[in-house]
Amino acid sequence: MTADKTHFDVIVLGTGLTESIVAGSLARAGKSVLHIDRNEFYGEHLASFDLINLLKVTNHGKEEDPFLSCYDEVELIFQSGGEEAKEAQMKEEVLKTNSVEATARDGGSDVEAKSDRKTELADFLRDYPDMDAVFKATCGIDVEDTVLSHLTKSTADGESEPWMPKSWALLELLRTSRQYNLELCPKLLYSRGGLVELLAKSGVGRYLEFKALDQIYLFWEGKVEQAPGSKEDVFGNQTVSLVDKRRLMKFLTFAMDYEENEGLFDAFKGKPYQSFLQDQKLSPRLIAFILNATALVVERETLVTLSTEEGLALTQRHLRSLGRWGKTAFLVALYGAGSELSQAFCRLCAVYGGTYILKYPLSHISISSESGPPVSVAADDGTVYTASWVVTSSTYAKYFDPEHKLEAESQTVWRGIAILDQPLYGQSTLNVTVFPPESIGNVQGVMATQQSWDVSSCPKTKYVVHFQASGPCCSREDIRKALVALTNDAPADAAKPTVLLAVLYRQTVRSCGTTWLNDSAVVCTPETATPDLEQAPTVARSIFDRIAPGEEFLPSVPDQSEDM
Amino acid sequence: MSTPSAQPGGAAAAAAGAVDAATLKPIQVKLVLLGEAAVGKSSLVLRFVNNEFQENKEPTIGAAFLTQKCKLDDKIIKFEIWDTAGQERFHSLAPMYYRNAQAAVVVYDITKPASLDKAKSWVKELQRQANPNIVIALVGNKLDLAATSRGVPAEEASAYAAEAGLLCAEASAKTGDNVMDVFTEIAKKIPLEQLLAARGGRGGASGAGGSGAAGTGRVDLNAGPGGRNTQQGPCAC
Amino acid sequence: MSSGQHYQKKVKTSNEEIAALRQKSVKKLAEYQELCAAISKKRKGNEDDDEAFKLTTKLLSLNPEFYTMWNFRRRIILERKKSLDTDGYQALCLSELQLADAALKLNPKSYWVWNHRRWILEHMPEATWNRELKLLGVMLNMDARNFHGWDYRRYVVAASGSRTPREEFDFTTEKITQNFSNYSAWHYRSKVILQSFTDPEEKSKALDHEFELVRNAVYTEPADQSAWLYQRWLLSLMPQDRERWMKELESIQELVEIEPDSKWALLTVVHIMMHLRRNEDHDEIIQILKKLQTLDSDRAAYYKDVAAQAAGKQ
Repeated sequence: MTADKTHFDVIVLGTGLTESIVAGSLARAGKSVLHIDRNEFYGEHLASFDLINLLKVTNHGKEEDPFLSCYDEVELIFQSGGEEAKEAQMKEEVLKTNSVEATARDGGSDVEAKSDRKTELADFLRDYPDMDAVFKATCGIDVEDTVLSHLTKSTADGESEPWMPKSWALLELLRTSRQYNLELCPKLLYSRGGLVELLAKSGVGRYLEFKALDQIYLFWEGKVEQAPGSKEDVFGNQTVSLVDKRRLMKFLTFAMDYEENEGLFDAFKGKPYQSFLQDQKLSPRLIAFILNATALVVERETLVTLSTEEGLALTQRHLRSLGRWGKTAFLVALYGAGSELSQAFCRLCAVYGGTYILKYPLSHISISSESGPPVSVAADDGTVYTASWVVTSSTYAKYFDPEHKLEAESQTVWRGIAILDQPLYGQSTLNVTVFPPESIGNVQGVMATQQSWDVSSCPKTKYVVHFQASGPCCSREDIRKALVALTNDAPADAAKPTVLLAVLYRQTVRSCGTTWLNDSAVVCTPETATPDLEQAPTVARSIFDRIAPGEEFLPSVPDQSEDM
Repeated sequence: MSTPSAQPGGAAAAAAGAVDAATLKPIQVKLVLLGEAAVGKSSLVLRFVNNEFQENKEPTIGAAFLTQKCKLDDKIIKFEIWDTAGQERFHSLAPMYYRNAQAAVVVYDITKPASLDKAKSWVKELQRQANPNIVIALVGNKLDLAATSRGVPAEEASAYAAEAGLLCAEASAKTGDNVMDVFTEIAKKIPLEQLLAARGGRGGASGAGGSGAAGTGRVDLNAGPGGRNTQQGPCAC
Repeated sequence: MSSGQHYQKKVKTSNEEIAALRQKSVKKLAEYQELCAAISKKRKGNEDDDEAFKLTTKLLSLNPEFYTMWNFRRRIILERKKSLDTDGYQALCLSELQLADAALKLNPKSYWVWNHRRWILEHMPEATWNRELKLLGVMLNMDARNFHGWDYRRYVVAASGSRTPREEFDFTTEKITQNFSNYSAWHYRSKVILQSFTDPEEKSKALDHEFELVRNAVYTEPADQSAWLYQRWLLSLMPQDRERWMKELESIQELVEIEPDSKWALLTVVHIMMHLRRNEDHDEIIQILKKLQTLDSDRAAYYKDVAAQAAGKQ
């Protein structure tokens, strides 16, 4: 699998969004680009997977892999309820009926039906050996012992064993795996943010599909409230008093163009945003709306330390994105934002001559050659590629920095992905719920993003909720509490959705910012904790400007879709 | 806007001309190309789109996708043709490539038996990754060399195609032989009524793996400044 | 809180249309001019025939603003009617409405096209009012402030009798909830509310609710005039109800505390105080009017007038 050509202007390692924008922009500017990823998928930490592959990645058991080792502490919650259980039950019935017929015909028995199911399960596990661990964790079975051995010794009594119904239900769920697109790290796009502008301007947006987020909710004083996003929301809101409505509107109108009224916040420069908001006579509830549901700041420490200028900039960014598409400031990308955007920029790179090799492990990278090209990259298959520059994601940093000198800190995010049988709030299919710190006994604030079939996250009858908590002392407990607050434990309570399957995991990404190791090598870090991807185009641009100074960054692609 | 269901009388037909232009929007169909390097994927498309042929064509550069309209009965089909851009060389084709594709042309070179094997593995890949209703055409290119250096008997390819449920043809991008027919046959086989019914957004029908998303409320980033989404309610200002 | 700009399609004049066409291609422009010439010839020669009809169809789908063409077309339609049976004529009218649909897509604010629709409906054997209501639903969803649409809606509702005042009232509620900066919607509301609630108790409840709605609107956006005007209209319904007037005054005075420079809030305070004619308000009225003279200097003379009037009343 050698590219016939082994020297390139630039070698890019890792297909995260920043690296992909760099690759696309450089190829577009005429540089020759070789883009490599050790994984067989695009997007690195922003990738999307079907259900089976998500379970595979989070239950990897490979501590030495520089990418997979970022995912650990996985916990699976599987409740055999909902459609899958019914489906499994129905199959059971059908099998029984068949075997009754069979009994009449040739004297078989109910036992056959059970062993059919076991064969089915055994076949599935043969095709997907990585799912052993999943069945073990959720149904408490040791596949080797329980399923396979049962297959050989036919149980004469034919009694149902406790693990069976659960396993059948899980099997049914996993059979629909391909209808899921689950993000390792879900992201929203600001409707008028730099990334959306770049996608529109460069033409890369033509590869992508988006829908508008419907609503942002805030968990406040024990219940979920709609966060007033627009003027009409404020007008129609039944719980905010008239005076508060005016104060909120007045503040938001100011924040929209806050730079023009410097006098109003001059005294608070460098001071906490929170105290500025208090000075505006905004009630604690409105302050929570602004900080948690508008600026989308949920980390406990950041809420306290965020300065007035930073806070106003975040609020303004949000406000300026309102009213472009749908009710909120955000867009959701079909099939997963990070993954699709990375793929789109990679396609641009390929269309402009870039070479792509995925699932390609490397053995060595050198960035300080005395003579010849400054960069050389050796692959496991023995091929050596050379280049003038190398741009890498932080998962490749170990090659340059075996002693971890670069590592400023690691960025830890606790995450949970829950598959539900119902939407959280009736009609709304795409929404965000924010739990401020301590609102449900949580240490760190939690953001919960509901996705649906509308963005191809799951089958039409299911809903997916992504939970995330970041910042010091964030933990699995934060995620669990939010999960419990939104769903029901008792299957009898039909008003709230039931969790069919949930995957909780920790994502720890080595964070080294954007660091130039020398004139020809740069390492960049993905944005995992932020709800958006606004940093990626800025970082990519700065790298592009250094490698291709004076060139235009991602000019519009000539439109070939017009009739010729 | 609603249109009345019955419109008897000759007078209606006379005025219908004005309305026709509005309702006859082309139906967009995404078509992906697959096949081994140098079998002539891009040449086939260039012949179809521009009716031209370049002897030693460089591998495709710069084209996001090419489009070509095709008239079928009373409908206009607009093919949006995606080239692999070389990403298939090291098995690095992105899932995005197959997404929402309603048709695929898998190309082999009739002078190179190995290229048919490769084509077969692409068909398998499509059946695994792409929309289950995708229309696949297996096309043997370089028909102009049939007399001198044919390496794949026509029967072998057509037997395989019949078994796998594919359209099948031999064509020559160089002479133009059969090229138009390939695309017309594909157009005929695409369930256009379904596409029309599901039309919304960019004309995508159902997604890969059958998880097609609802066709309403899609946002078009290139809808112009302040572009609004007509599916949603009024703008929130 | 969003950018505040409202998306509105600019009404193209026929000159601008020609300019736009020129940009596209000179060829198309030539075709367009040829078309105009051909029709002009037909019209002058009184050739109200099929050929002329086809030509105007083509022209109007390019440029619905060419109003003399609509006139010509109506003449041809009446000519055609002579040779058609009822069904045939109904069908002709329907296809005419479709042409107008397409034209409204190009320009939703074309006076001529709305006018043409009216004419067709009044001439067709069986007016398709429900079709019109459906169309209006779509049009007002695209732009809830299109006053042509609102105007036409009143006409259709009155002519068809197919909608109750209450249904129309609820329709305005829906539009106001989506965006309350909408003169047309508030205005239409004032036209239907009294017929919607005939029972005195219901009516009084409904009016209470209206005041509440207005308060929410003016607190949310005091600079938007449309809700203030509606409030004035509501108050004018009950000149004798001093309690109601005082209640509103109190609420607006609270607003003035937060927004001391809101012109509309200040004006409303003056309006109510002058109506109440309480001695203790006199100085405040004069003071507010003085303030308004500087806040809104364009209308200083008007405020001086009102001040003189207020002084005279004492």
